[in-house]
Amino acid sequence: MDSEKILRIEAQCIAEHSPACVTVCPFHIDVKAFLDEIRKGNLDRAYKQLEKKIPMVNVLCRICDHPCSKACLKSDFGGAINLSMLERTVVNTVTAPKKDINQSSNGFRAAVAGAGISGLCAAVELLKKGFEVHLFEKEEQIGGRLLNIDKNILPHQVLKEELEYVEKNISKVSKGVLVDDVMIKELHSSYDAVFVAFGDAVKSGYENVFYGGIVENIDKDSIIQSAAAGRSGAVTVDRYLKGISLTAMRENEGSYETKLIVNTEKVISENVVMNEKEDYVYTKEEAAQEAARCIRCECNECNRVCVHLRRYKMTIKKYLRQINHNERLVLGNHFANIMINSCTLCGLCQEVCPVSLNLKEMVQESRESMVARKKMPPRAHDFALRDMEYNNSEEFKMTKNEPGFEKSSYVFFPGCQMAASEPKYVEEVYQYLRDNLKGGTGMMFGCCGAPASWAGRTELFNINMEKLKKELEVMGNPKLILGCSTCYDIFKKNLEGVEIVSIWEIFEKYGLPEGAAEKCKGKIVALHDACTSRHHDKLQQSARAVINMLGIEIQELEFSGDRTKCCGYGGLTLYADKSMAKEFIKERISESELDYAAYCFMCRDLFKGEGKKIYHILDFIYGENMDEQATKKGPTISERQHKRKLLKNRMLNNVWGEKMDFKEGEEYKLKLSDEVTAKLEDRLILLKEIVEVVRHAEESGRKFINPENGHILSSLSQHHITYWVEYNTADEGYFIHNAYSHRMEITEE
Amino acid sequence: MSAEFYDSKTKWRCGKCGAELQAGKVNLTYLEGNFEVELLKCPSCGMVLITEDLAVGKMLEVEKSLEDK
Repeated sequence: MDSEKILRIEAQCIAEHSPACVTVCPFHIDVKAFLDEIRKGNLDRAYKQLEKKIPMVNVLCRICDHPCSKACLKSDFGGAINLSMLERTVVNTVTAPKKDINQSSNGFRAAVAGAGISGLCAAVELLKKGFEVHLFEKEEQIGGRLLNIDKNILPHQVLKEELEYVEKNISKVSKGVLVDDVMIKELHSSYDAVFVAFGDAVKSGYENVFYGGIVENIDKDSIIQSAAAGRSGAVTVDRYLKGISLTAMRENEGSYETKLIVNTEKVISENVVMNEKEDYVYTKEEAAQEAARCIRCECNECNRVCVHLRRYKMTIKKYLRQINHNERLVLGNHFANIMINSCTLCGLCQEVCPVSLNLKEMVQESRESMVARKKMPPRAHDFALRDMEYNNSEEFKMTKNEPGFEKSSYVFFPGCQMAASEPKYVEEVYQYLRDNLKGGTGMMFGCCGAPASWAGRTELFNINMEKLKKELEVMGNPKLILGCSTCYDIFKKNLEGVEIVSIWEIFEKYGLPEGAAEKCKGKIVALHDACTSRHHDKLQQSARAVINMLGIEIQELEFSGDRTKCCGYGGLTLYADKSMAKEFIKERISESELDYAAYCFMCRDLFKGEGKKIYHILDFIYGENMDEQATKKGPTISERQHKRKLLKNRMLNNVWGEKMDFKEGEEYKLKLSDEVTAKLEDRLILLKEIVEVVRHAEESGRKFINPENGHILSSLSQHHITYWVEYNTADEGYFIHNAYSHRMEITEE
Repeated sequence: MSAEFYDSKTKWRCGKCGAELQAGKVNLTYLEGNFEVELLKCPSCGMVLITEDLAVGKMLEVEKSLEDK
């Protein structure tokens, strides 16, 4: 798998980018953490968040021009978070003793010309980096612009204390000294570096004299930008003397635009909290209220919609890192296997991702790579692949032209699950198609290849597709009519030049069978689109049109159409991790109180299995006893195969007058309790596998016996799995008490 | 997998030989793993018993960890 491709996609994820308020603040205060502390009433801790990032915190936090407010997304929802008032409230309330800047010397001496905001901040930053700092100011007082600020906003005492603190820490301050060209020349030779912190300076051209750091074109009136320019100048000086690039990796040092995109669909509008009595500060309670208005900007769209990502606590970015790690891991456990195999490959995350990251494709590639490297756990998909093999075996596979036709204009491909869940509908739909379509409508049973694709078995998938193509060619390349949205998706993407329609388009065009529209007229349902119908607009629209023709009203779910969710079967999740599939099912069925309608039998059966009342569109058309139809459990894995076989046999008889060489299995001789049946379903054990164990035990005599109850226990290895069955003989058959399996083989007894 | 994973009080007897089962060495393999463990087996014909608890418990655990190697 292409590691660079993974990393390239991973780098596009915006989830780990900071909110706009943080990036636009040149000091990058952690605004979320700051507001969290205020919300919790911890003003001391909120103060620490400010102090961590802002020099001369008691001054700057009172007079900052707050570019963060302009960037705040809450601006459109009652007003930006009032960070100005909040910061002032915090620095006004908290009196934290100031510790002296006590950094061990780095051996360098720097001169800073100008003791305004920028110069002071540069000096503080240089001190923190261990410089000996000499500060020059042309006036008799340091502070520059700070001295002229309204005392209601910046009380004299606060400013005085902060300036005294800076002055106390700086190695040497020279007041009343104008730094002109002559002076610069002198400073440049007697100091390791010089930072000129007044805006109108003419650049000297000396290598070790710096002007305004890297911050160019800043708003010179902005207090906070001036402060940042000073800090940035100090960084430049430091880099220069350490011989580090003056520009590398500094793009995000000052204000920058975030790449974070936030979904504001559900943000509620609420007004900025005001203080009736004071203009500049909040009470502690008001501050908490105002802080609580913050929407905590983040991109969590993929998690919001996907229960799988939430279970593993993954953003797409983290997920891709796991895939990459799993790919490259040579020794040790591939812990991500189970995660990668229990993604439904439904693609919803890409739909909601603001930058459309295609995780599905990467998971698919990762599975293919696991197969290619022989690292795919056999357990994950082998049941589905054996089921696929069954569907392509003589017991189900069938390709027929309509009786009386040598070629076909159309061919009906109902899909394996319609044949398994409601074989009767297959016969009904086929009759309907023959009645309505001219030119011969053939019939095709078999597998579309979806399980192979989901399992990462590219080769198997391609072989299957080539066989299908050949069969279609022999039939005269008929138009394909599909009963399943997964087959539809697979064929649309892999059968070039073949015309593909869903049965819903046919019903829409030729009308409903007689009487169908009367059954459920007036009913209101929530429609669950199959995840494989995503981006197949025509399919989704036709399904809706047919429901409407039936006189049934659709209430759209929040996640429908291109944003529909998976039922938990997609990607073979049901087989790789049943508990994951159940989480998908449970979340999806709780999204509306209404009865659901679906047009995939797997979705229908899985939802019914968890107690949701749901109808397939064909239930509306051909179903009987509608209430029972919407609640009764779907067939077991054994029944599914059995029903397919019976269907083929019946249709060969009834439509083509042919006799299939039909061998009824011995499964009917087995008697099982519901409990054991459920166990088999859970353990993916087929009755025909049990029959083989019992037959082998009875023929060979290799069995254990429990003398207390007469039960027999025996085992047999079939397709690399050892099946154990506990049974006893009953009238003309066997009573099955238990069955289990394992994959380890006993090589020596 | 070690000796403690079989139940020495089993009711199962060999159906062919009628013998009571006894602990004995058995080789188990899966993917690239190969283990020698003690399991109950028929002292006469050597048929090995793997109980449900073992199959869906410790054995499954080992299988899964081998699959993820």
